[in-house]
Amino acid sequence: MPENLPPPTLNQKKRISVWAVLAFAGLLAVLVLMGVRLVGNDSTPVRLGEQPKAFTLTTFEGEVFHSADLRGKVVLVNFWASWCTTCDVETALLEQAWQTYQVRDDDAVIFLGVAYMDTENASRAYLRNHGVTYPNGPDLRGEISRVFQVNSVPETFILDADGTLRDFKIGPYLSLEQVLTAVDGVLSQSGE
Amino acid sequence: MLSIVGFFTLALAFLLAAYGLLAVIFGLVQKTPAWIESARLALLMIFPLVTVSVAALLILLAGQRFELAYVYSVTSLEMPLYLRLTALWGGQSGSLLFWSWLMAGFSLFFALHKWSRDADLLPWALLVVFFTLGFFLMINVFFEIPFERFWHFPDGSRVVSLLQPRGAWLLTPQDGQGLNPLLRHPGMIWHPPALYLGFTGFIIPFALAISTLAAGRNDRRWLEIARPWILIGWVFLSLGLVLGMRWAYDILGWGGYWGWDPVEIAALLPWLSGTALLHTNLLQARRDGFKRWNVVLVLLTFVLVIFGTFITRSGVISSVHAFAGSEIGSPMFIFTALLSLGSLGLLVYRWQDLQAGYEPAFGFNKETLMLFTNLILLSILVICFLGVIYPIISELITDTQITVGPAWYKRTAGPLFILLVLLVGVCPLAVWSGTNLARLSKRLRIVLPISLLVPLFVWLAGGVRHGVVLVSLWLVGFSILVMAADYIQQVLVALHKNQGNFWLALGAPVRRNRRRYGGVLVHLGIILMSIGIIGIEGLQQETQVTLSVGESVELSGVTFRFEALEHHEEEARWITEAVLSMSRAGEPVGALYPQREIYPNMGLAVTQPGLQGNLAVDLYAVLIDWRPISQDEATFRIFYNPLVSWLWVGSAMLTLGVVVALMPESARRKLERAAKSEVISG
Repeated sequence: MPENLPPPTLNQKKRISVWAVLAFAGLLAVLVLMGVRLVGNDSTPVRLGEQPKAFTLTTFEGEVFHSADLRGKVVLVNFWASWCTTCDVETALLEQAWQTYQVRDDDAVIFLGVAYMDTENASRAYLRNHGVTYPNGPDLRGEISRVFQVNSVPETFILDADGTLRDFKIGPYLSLEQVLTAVDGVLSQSGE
Repeated sequence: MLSIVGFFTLALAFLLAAYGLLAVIFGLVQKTPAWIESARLALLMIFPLVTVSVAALLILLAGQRFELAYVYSVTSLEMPLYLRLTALWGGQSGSLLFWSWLMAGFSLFFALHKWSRDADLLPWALLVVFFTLGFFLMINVFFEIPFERFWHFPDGSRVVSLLQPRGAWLLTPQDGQGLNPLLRHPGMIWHPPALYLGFTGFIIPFALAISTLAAGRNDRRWLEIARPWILIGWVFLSLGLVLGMRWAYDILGWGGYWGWDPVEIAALLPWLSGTALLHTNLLQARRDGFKRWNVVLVLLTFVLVIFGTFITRSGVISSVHAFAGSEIGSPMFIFTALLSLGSLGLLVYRWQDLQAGYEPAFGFNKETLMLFTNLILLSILVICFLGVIYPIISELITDTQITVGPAWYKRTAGPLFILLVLLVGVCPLAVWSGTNLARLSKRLRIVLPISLLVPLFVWLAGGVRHGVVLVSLWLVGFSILVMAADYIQQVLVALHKNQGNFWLALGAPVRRNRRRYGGVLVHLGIILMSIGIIGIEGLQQETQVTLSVGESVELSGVTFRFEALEHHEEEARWITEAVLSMSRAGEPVGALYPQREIYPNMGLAVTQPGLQGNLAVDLYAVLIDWRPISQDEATFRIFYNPLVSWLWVGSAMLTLGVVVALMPESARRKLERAAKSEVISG
């Protein structure tokens, strides 16, 4: 017990309290840092009608897409993974939809595929096996999935020409019609 | 039904922990031992309850019950049973349940230990355990519930809920999403459990340290109780790290074993402080010194475990290991803050009482060397810690996250690791306290010249000209020689004593002093591991080439010839296997078979590097790509990894060392000693 000890000399007491203050300050600084980061990170999922934060996708071919540069287009962002069993059918549907817009020569729509928690080799093989032609790239450091608060795949988000989230789908699209309806719906809203 | 059983046993365990916490507080305030006893009995019940819950989840995983959101997210029909079972720790909520279960297991210690001599420690230890365990159980009961199921409404909407919502039907998906292919590896069986055992095992030393501080005691009793648990926690942590390295080496296909990923570092941090703790622990056991060191290091180690868990699971830091962000960030943050602030507060409050009864004398002795070792370990810890939080600081200041790469760690922590090798080498030359230079110079005269043969040999025979590698290997050789010389001397002494029975004398030193030679084996293990690290950091060669069938490439004197690309189908997977034959100066030395496995139904591809190695070098090839039409051209990444096998050999040695140190003295040995004392008294 402190009372039973001989009283510490002034010098000793002073030194220790400085160390204690430093230790507390250091610990608090780390905690505040984590807390700030957590608050920045823990933000609620992007809601319909809100603009997600800016993101950059570098495709496997090396092409770079900045979300800010895509204003004026309807952007469909699809998160998938080569290991995801339900992505398979959806990827084929998205490719069909993409071809539909290419045939229409509709420059107002772009699809971006994001490989979520995947390895580059596996992603490339997946894209090759499915004959995917729309731009696809890895989710480097999980930055894009963090913007959209993606927790599983597949998830798809559709942004309008202003970069506002207009539609999303958790889980796979089940038919070509579903994809086209969703994209056309946002297109027509943008047109207004 | 099973999911309900699983959840309610879990909820009951949480309620018991909450009750236990209240009962302990009440008992402490009222000074009523009956409340403490009641809390102890509550703790006794938690482990069986969580065990039932874990068993329920395992049965659900094995039975492919995809109506459970967790089972759906981590398993699929085609996964083999062992992977379905190990998927228990394949996702956030399941791995938290597994964590709680291990921690509940370790906590049993507090309910079962005989506290008669230390009754004043028990209530505080229980307080810590109920607080910590209760927190993790709460996370599993309220935030990350592994037993939630899918339900659907007539309008097609879908919810995830524990109990049936009104008007909803159970939704049972045909198949699950399956486990990320990177986790589909036998490493999944051993790496996470070993690491978790290491993490959760430190609850025992931590609770003992806190209780000693809280009870106002100043003796070393807590360390005596904690010592085996510190060793056990430390060896599992070490094994977890090494198994993770092996996994990365086998499956990730980048030819290395350690990527300085923030989560890897988060697991390394408690290992560093835990290693420092092993040393000061020894010093307090021998003399009454280093009291403050010990308390600080125990608290630090456990706080770092919790800190690592927090950053991995909250999504604060992005990494291949990170779990997808979830709502547990805030509660985990509060818990981490309470635990660390509470520990520090108690430490500061009791700081004056922890004056050592003994001041170490500086000089060339083990005490001073251990102090140095610890300062180096803690410097590495600070470097690594700064590396982990630097991206966060940089984002706050510059708004972009700057990640610190491997090059930074190699440059800052690398030289410190080399210094550690040197310290391991010279330590056996030092006496315990004081300074004895005569002994030192006598040994050095023999060992130093011989040890210089090591770099000379590597220079001449291996053709290595890399300065840092030569110096490091010299230090390694020196350390091993010092240990060997020490051991040989002990064997000679024993030989002299038992009239020349060589085999008996060979094991005599270990039999006489298990603790010491267990420690020597651990150090030998670390030194052998460092050979592997030196090899890959200093001498690794790699190349990436596209070869046609029949073409070859040379790397470090080995010619790799692309012989064939073979495809075969097996149970819904296509395996593409390349054959690379290898020769050295025209002499064939075997072949590598790097593979790509494609699961066409699932669009899933897994890389299997081709690997052939011995203690001198690993030849390692990854099949990156091939032309699907012509099939006669393929791209390879080929690695020449010298000495890397020593990493695995060393880790086995390290484990053996801990086992030796922990082994109780055999009954025969005790009898022998008793017989001897009889002879003497007779």
